[in-house]
Amino acid sequence: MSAEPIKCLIIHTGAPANLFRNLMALRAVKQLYPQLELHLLVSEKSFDLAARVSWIKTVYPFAERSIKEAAESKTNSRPQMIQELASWLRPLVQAEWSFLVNWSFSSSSSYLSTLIPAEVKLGLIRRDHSGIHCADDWSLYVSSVVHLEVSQNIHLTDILTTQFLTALQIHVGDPTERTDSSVTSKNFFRINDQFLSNLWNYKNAQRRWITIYACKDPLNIDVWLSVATKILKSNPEINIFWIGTPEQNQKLVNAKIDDQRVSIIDSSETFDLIAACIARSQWVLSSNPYAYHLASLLGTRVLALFRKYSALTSSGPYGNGHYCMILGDQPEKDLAEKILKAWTFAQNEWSSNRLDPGQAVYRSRIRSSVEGGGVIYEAFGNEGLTISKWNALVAGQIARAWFCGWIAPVGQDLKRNQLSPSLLSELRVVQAAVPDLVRNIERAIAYASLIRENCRRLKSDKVMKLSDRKEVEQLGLNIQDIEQQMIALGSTHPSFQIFANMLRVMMHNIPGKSLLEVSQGTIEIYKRMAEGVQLLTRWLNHSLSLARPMSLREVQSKEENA
Amino acid sequence: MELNELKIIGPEGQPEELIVELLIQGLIDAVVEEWTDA
Repeated sequence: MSAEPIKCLIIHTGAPANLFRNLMALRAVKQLYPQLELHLLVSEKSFDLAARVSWIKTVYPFAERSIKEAAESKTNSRPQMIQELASWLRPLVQAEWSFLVNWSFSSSSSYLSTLIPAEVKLGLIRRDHSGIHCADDWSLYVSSVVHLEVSQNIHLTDILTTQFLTALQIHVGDPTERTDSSVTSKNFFRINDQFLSNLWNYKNAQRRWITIYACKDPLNIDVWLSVATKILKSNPEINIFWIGTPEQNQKLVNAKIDDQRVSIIDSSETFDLIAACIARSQWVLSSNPYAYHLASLLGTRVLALFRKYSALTSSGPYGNGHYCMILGDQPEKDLAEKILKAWTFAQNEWSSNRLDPGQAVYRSRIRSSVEGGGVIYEAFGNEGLTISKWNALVAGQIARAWFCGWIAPVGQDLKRNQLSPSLLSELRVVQAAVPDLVRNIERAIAYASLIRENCRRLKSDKVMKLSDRKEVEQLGLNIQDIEQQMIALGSTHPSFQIFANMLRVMMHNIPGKSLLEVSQGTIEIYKRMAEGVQLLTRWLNHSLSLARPMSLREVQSKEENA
Repeated sequence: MELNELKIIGPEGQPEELIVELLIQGLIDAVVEEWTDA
């Protein structure tokens, strides 16, 4: 493998919170391929924090605000703006990148990734006149499954790590050495914490600190005020960094909470100060991704709150030992007590602290590579598996089989006592619909194969006999009809949504232009669908057989074999 | 820098199909649509 520096540009014009999450993926890749020379193109909002990462060579700020203001103010003419942007793009265009990785998944980023040349491109790009395209398989998955909130259980940090590593393995070769060193660190950023250090006297250093990050939190501020009050009351050794907006902070002052033990910080304070507070804390409590991704990066433990399970699995706090609570539709008046309970439980799992029955609390764990790697969120107690969670489990395995070629043992992470009668009856409904789906996939492959055979016979795609043209058109319509049926099936039953969404995006991204290439591409896409459905069937059969009554001897023998 | 100096290679190596000016125009429109101060 070449030891020459490999120049990579990562486009990350999204929110800073996502950059924190994705920096973990980038760190993991850099550890395996130290010869990567990483450059970031980020939105202005993220420039300060990206510039504090020592192993990033250059950070280019993308001035979205100025572009928007200039476009809307009409002070600058469009041609003038275009010239200015062309000048700004010049060093990026001329830099000769080996890899361009677009991790923004936005329309604007797809223009940037198309304008800047690179030997290998990953993520969203634009092709011809047909709009946004995905340059690789994992981008297809992110665009069509993760971002559309289809139940799945692969974390975005793991997806992006795998996406980049796979491309590096193909184009550069295997990494020279494996490393198990952590990607998180208290010193992840070069921060100037002089201000906090001056205040950090012996008295403060002796106390335990936690951060409550209330800023831009969708929870009512009264919930966090109540949590802070309860924590201070029942934990005399604890001090709190309270990070909120000026209005939230004023509410805290008005509430007359013990001001000797609470440091109030304005959320518009410098990144250095916020990061220093979080790094010094033992816990961060928040439902704001900015706070819990930054805390994960700095190795501070997190209690993160989510409304929905799907948001947790794809973008929860990354690492070992973080706790996550699903709020669901619980009334706000009970939340403070439940948050406190979850946090108390998280601190001392082995003690007599108990969660409320039905309280949905999960702990993050990085799986070993034998188990498939990546972060998972394990539920406490006897978690009843809903169809949505079952779908998430299976979708994750299907994606791994499609894009990594790695197939987990069927039934991994599935326990007999999780299968409720209502889940089983839903699985039977899914099972009953599978034969139709299989038939449709086989028909699509047959139609596309016929088009391919016709194309091989024809001298040209454009000039052909009228009868041939009609036949090809009819076959094309048949395939479109099947696609529509599969999309309709996905909207009726969430277990098939992964196939419907992936099919739609894959057909849009089909490589090639000639009829022969398109028909070949269609066959490959439907073959991939067939592999996925086969895996789904295996999981259905396994789940339904697991629930069937068994003799004690059978149970023992299954457990021994597991 | 003049626009025509900005040589780009499209994802399929077809610079003639990817007109730089149109792409930058698209970039501006996309930023206007997407960017928020949130």
